[in-house]
Amino acid sequence: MRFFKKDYGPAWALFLSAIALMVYVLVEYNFTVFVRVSMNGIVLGLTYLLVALGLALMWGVMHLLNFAHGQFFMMGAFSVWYFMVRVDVLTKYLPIVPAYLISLVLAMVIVGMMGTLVERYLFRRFGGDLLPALLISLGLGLILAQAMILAFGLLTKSIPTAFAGSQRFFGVSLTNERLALVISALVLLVALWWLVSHTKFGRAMVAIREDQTAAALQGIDIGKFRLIVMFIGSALAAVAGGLYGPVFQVTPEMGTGPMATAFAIIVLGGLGSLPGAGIAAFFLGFVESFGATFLGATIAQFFTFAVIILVLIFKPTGLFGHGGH
Amino acid sequence: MQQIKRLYHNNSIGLMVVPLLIFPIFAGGNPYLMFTGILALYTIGVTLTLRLKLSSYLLDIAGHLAWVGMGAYFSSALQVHLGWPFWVNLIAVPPIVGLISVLVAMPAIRTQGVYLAIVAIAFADIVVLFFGNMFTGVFGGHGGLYALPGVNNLGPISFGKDDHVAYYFLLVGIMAFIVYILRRIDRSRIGLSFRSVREQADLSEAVGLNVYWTKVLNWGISCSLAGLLGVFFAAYLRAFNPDEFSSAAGFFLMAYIIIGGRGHLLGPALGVVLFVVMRESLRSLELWQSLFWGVIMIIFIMFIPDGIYGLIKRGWEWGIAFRARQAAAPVPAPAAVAASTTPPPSERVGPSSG
Amino acid sequence: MPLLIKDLHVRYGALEAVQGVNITVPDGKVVGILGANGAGKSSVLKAVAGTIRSAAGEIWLDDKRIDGMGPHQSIKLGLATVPEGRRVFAGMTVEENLRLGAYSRNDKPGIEQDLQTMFERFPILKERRKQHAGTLSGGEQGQLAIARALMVRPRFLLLDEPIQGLSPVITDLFFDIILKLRDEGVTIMMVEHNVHFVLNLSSYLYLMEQGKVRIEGEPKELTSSEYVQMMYLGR
Ligand SMILES: Nc1ncnc2c1ncn2[C@@H]1O[C@H](COP(=O)(O)OP(=O)(O)OP(=O)(O)O)[C@@H](O)[C@H]1O
Ligand SMILES: [Mg+2]
Repeated sequence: MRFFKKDYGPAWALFLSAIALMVYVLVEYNFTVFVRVSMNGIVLGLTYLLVALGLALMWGVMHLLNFAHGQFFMMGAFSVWYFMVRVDVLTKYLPIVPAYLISLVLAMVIVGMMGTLVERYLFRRFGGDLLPALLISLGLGLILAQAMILAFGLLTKSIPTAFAGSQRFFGVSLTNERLALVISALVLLVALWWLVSHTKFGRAMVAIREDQTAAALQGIDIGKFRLIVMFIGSALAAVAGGLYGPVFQVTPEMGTGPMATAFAIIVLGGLGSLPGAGIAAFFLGFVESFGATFLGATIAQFFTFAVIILVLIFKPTGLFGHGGH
Repeated sequence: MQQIKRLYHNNSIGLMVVPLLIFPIFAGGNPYLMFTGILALYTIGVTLTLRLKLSSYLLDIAGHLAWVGMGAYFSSALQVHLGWPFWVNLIAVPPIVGLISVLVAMPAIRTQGVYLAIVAIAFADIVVLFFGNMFTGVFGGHGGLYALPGVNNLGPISFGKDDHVAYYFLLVGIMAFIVYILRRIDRSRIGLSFRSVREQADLSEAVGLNVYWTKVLNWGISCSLAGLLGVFFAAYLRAFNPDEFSSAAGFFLMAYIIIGGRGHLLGPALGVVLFVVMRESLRSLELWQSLFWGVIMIIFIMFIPDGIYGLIKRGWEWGIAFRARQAAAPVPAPAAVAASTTPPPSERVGPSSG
Repeated sequence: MPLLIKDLHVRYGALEAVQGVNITVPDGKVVGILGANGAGKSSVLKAVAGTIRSAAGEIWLDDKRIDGMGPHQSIKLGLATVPEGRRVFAGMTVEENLRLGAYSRNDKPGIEQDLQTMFERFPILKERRKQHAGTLSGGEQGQLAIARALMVRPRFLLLDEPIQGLSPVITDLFFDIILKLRDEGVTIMMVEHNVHFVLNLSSYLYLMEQGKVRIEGEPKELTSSEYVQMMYLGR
């Protein structure tokens, strides 16, 4: 383990300050509050992580900062809402749990396909050129958000929960809905981790991140890879949206906040670094949950931005990043 | 990423002077036109201050408006609560903004490229949060400030709500000052060091230039000039809210610059004008507006990367070439001889398409 | 299997780096390309490998036209490349680099066997097996790059300055390896600045200058050419 290297000072500082926050809650309040804040932090952190991992993959493989990613998240939630509420075929003929799962899968496929189309027809022609692709994604984000408003109206939508009831953990009740979110997210994360670290696909991905031309010379089809990565990244955002939707609310603007946090996460973690994104996601999820409970959302946001700036000042390439752009 | 070598084009600024001075004669009676003109000019100003920045130019826009916002908020607060006249603020506020920006830059400038842009964006959002939530008695909170006093009358010149022409010329004066400063910098040793850091940071270090302080100084000058525009912004609009300086607003500014054309100072102004025209003509279709704007953005980036300005320029050049060809056509004999001798034979040899 | 390059053109924007080059590499032979810096040698090689697109002309491998193919397609035909500057994956271990070399293959036992072969041929790589490639010396990276290309089990090999910066001992090792590959029937096209190395290995040579082939011929013919003597052999 190279975690003790001096380079990782800021990572440790972040970790220790998260612990300090937790201890503060434990001492100042009580165990129940602590558990509630932590659970909420985990739920938020996992959601953000799913969104951020898509961004990290896209940056790693294709040097793309996709500002439409938040809208992919939103589209995921809208797709689930569409299949569960708008057309009620699924819910009419199936019990709610399979109906929800099928909607989730459909959302992943639809949004994933959308991602590949966007890559194929909009991003590809700019290759590794950061700025035009970034601006295109901004324009695309505007279009998608507005399209949802035009198609389904401005009103907030809600997705019926597939998992009613709740469990008690250490005297705190956690709704099954949130539990399902945590479990699904963990399953996806493990699958992704396995894909990246134990398959030929993952090795090829690391190779592309290091040197795209050399990777191509080993026989890796870069164009195909970009399509696959866009699919996976967009599908992850969609499933995050589909999981987040029933717990919170579905609106055309729902993607903005998580996307901002996801960007913060990948930058904090070091662009392209997946473990870095993981640590940053939990930290920011916890900070948000902690802040929302005790300090108010604004101060928590303040704190988040301050942390990003501080970390980047001490480690200009993020917690686990190597080399700038 | 496109880098602009000189900070401005000498001739383009010269060309702009006459239309600038004539504009109010045509538009003076029409407050709506004047408003658009002032907005366009202000956007050019913001782009100018941004171009000075050594960092990545376009990506940093998202964070740049925060400095304009600081100028706007400070001068409004000083005017309302301490009774400082606008004219004093015009001189006092930019250095304050510059000082803060230097303090921010001293640590932040250590990052580079995308990371620096993200730090700048994060800082912009902190500024927005600050003005939206802190000292609400002074800064007005989320709703922002309104019913501001505007510019204090200067002798016989009145700066009332409807005195657009007066405001217009005030802005022209401020722009002239900014251009003057940029010119002075460009010709001085500082300008030389800016250019050398922009082109070749590593080399500049080797030559003995202090790259770090050069970057900090550059940031400070750029931000204080942005603050100067903010002072004007507040006084002209008399009402604004923190979101107008957020990174989201910055991305819209980025769109103006792209759509208008990056290659020329007039570019961003053309972008603003297109936006205002679109907004007014689509009044009835309010829900469709941002969709249109997104489509326009994508179309421009994909097919017209040099923007409206580039389009006009190409059309203009094509027109000149067309007329030249037409003029050449009636006298075939000497033209044909000249044409047959000019192209070197080797140029025809290689196949031109693959 | 022969490689044919017919009237190849390569453009970078306005610059035409390769202007109508014809090269033939016969089956099982080593062919060398010489030329000053910027002559366009690497551009020819990259066009064959498929990392850049040619502007015009044809490239044939056996009876397949490969211009317009990406590297992932031509590698399936048995074409492997050692690119200019080696370009090993610095953040990966030596073994991971070698395994990536075999990315286009699916025969697991064959890959394991070839891995052992490489470790025998290049003992230093075995020693450094778990070390990050970025920490290897220049000479070791050179060996890794060629070993990685051999993991393709190529029938055709493109080498761009393979011995640049290598010590005489390693140069000799490379000399032997290239000879051995040739005897195994691998067809090789090589760009190299070390004239003696190329002269002694190649059966045919091309000398490029400003995007065109200036002189071509067998090594004997070339060494007797006055121009080559003056420019390259310092006589
Ligand atoms: N990606 C590129 N963009 C623009 N110009 C290029 C590019 N690659 C090569 N060139 C130009 O094309 C010409 C030929 O380059 P090439 O790399 O083929 O030369 P070379 O013969 O391999 O030289 P060397 O012996 O130095 O490796 C050079 O003038 C070079 O500057
Ligand atoms: Mg070369």
